[in-house]
Amino acid sequence: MSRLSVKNAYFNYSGKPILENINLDVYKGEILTILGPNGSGKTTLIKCIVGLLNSDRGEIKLDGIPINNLSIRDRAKIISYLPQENSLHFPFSVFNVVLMGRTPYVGILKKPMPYDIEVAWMSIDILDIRNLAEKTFISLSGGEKKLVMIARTLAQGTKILILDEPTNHLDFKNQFIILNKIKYIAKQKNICVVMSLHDPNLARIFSDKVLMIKNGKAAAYGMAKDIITEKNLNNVYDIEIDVYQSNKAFMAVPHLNGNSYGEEIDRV
Amino acid sequence: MKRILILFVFVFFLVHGIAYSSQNGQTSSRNIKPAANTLNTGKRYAVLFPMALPFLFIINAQNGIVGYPGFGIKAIPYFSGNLILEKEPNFVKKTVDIGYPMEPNIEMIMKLHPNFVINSNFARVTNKRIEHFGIPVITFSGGFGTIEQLIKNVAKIGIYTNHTKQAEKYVKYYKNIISYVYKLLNKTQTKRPTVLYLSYEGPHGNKLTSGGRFNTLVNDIIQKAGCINVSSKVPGMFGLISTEDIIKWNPDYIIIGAGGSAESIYKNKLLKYTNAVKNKKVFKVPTDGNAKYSNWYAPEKSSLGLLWTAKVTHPKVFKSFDLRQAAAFYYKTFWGLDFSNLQIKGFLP
Amino acid sequence: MIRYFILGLLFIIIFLLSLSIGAYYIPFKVVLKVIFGVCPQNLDKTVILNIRLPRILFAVLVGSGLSVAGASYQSIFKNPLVSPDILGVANGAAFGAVVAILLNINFYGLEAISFTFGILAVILAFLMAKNRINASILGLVISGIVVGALFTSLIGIAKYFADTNNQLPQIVFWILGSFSFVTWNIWPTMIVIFVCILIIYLMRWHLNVSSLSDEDAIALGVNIRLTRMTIITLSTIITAASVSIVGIVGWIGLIVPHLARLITGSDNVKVIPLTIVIGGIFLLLSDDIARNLISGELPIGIITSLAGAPLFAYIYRTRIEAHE
Repeated sequence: MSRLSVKNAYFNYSGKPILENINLDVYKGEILTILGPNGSGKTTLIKCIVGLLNSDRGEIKLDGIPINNLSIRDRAKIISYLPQENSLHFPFSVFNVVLMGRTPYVGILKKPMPYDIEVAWMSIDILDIRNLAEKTFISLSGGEKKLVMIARTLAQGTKILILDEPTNHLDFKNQFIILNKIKYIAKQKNICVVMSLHDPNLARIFSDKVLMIKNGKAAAYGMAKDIITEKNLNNVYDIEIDVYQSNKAFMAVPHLNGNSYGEEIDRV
Repeated sequence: MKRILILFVFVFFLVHGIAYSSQNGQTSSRNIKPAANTLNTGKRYAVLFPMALPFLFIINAQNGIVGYPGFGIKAIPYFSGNLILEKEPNFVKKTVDIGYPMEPNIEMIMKLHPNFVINSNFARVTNKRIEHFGIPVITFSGGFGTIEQLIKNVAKIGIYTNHTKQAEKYVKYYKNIISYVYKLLNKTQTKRPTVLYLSYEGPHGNKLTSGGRFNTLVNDIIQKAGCINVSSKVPGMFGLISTEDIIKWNPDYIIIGAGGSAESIYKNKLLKYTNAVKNKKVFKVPTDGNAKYSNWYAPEKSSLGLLWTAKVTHPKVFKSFDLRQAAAFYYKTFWGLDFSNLQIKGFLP
Repeated sequence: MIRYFILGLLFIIIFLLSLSIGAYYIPFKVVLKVIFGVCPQNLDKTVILNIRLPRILFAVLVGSGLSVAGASYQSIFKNPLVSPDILGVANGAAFGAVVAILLNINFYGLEAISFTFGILAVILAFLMAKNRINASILGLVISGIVVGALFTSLIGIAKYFADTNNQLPQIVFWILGSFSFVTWNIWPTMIVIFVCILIIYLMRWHLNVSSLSDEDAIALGVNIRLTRMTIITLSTIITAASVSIVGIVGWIGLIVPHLARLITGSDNVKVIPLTIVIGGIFLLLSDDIARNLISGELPIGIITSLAGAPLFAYIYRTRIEAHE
């Protein structure tokens, strides 16, 4: 049985359809990447899966249980979510941020038990950020912040991990470090991961499955290798894309030579 | 567009500057600021100070009042409003409301063309503002000064309103009372009892006292009545005090101006060790009607307040003195009223 | 740990000193005798047990309560510059009290009316916000400011109609705040404030999560609407209950949480207990000044703002330097 399944999901925002007929299945240890241009509905889909938005039609099941049957707290024990932007307004220490991942297990009138603190330290160790633990979160660099947030989702101890653009604002190196960690966690802990990315190259390297969305509709869905092709990319992003492929490497780049895009760049 | 804007701003300042300088020229050429020694007597006067208003009735100068402190809502005069309406039933209707001491309706005052305005001595800024418009202001101490100051001010108003005779009559009457009390107290050298005057004993448990640090009238009344004012170091007309202060001062007498009653003080378990409560010496100042402030400690009735305090705190010395008769004289002479017709509330020995 | 011990000791010393100082002189020896129950029934004992003790206890409770309300508001509104009266509760309660003073209603009536108006103000703010952006934080804060301004102007109008000689000074003193009329009669209010402080204290871990964005908090399994409503209700009760008895005591709800964060960082698990202790000490000291500085009473609001504004400037500077 799939850990996470989405069937015929529809979502409207003030009458305008944002998602139409989305289907996907993720099994344990699998990484599914959602690709698509800005405004295609990636974030909306992710919010529907996490339960922040209610899909109008269709069914989203976590471990076979419809998401609407779960309380907020029970849902948070099954599914953890890393938003695009972090929302810390106070200078919390890194350890405290990670410890917040244990919230679903802490009663409203209680504070974290020693066990929760242990789990938080373990998550910190898995991501190798013990040296940051005493620092304040807002003083960290972008890459470090992402690592801490991943540690937080890990401390939440869920079977499903949803990440909304985890490579957002990261440099070339940090994008790889973060995605490597995510892949490591998914394989090591048998967690199923759903994330959205902008770079098809990274998606191809780090994910098992890919869902391509265009204007709220699924454009392609399947194994990463089969789906990330020149034809699909051209279709989804509406620009010509060249794919260079060898046994070792895969690279998709927008077609620059002699077409209008290149000319425009020259003119600017 | 930019040029037009700059031009506009320039013209604006130019016009503004011309207007301003011409205005300045005008005021300097007019310059009707009243000199302190020149008399500006007149037949029309506006009163801004509620505490001064009753005195114009006492000296029979009420016909010249063109504006009164109605607080913007045509309120019945706060001080002795009941007596004022007995003497002049149409007073509120026919007189223009010009606000109150700190916030006068200056346009309305200008429109009335009074010869002068009577206002409080503490409203210095307001008085300057009024004088800036060329209307002299005569200050009045009311409750914010000693009895001597009050008498002097009444005499001053008498001169300005051309009612010197009646004012002198009142001054003489008050001076007689002061010297009478003084003589009797000096004849018998008694110990001066301590007195606490609660200007308000609220239903909310809070107590306001009329302190004496800035020379309040109440402070002077208590001292002239041969007593020691325990709250003389509390600043201002209304100082907030706590129960503990009362215990510390341990006054022989507690006098309540307004609000609660002697019973509410007796009921207070925390005060049972104070002399006043132990000896049942808590008294409420008499009031004569339903006006907001009509008790005998109000400036216009402070002569009675002085006599009352002296009699209450020195019962032996003033044993033969008939307070009711003195009150009857006051009401008959200055308000033309029969004392027996007035509803007197509070403690009357 | 040593930090808490020192603070606790400081609190006890200040508490004992506050019991022994006041207008009426009582030697410290007698204070100790009364505390250990070996003092005969006399005036000293009455002053200590029935005048100073309730006053001191209430000052501590109000100080702790307002500070803890401020700290929790700052968390749930995700803004460190928020104070407990952001939703207009203090102004509402003050207006209720002014109405009661105008109508010459007795002490209990005043408290009840004032408390009710405080709660009403917050409900009004909620209703106004609800119509706009679904009770979002910004909408709430804006409508809170509107409601506060509305009640301030209503107080202005009420002042206009007040009797200048009796009621107006009452109103002015009442709004500036004073502990001078606290007696044991208000024990139910003391218990209410204590219970609210206790609940917020227990919820202190969830305050951390409440300071995240709504989506983040929901993803962490927190029913953020419910948590926010609970905190707002408790803080509103604390503020309305204190304002209904001692009037508006400004600044404390803003400064004390900052002071606590300066000492211990942002983790509410540590900030809240520290806020409770510091808030109690702060207001107790302020009240000691209010009742001892001059003959008679100084309004407590004047002292807290006089001490608070420069202190806040200092804290703000230190925190900026720490961040740089």
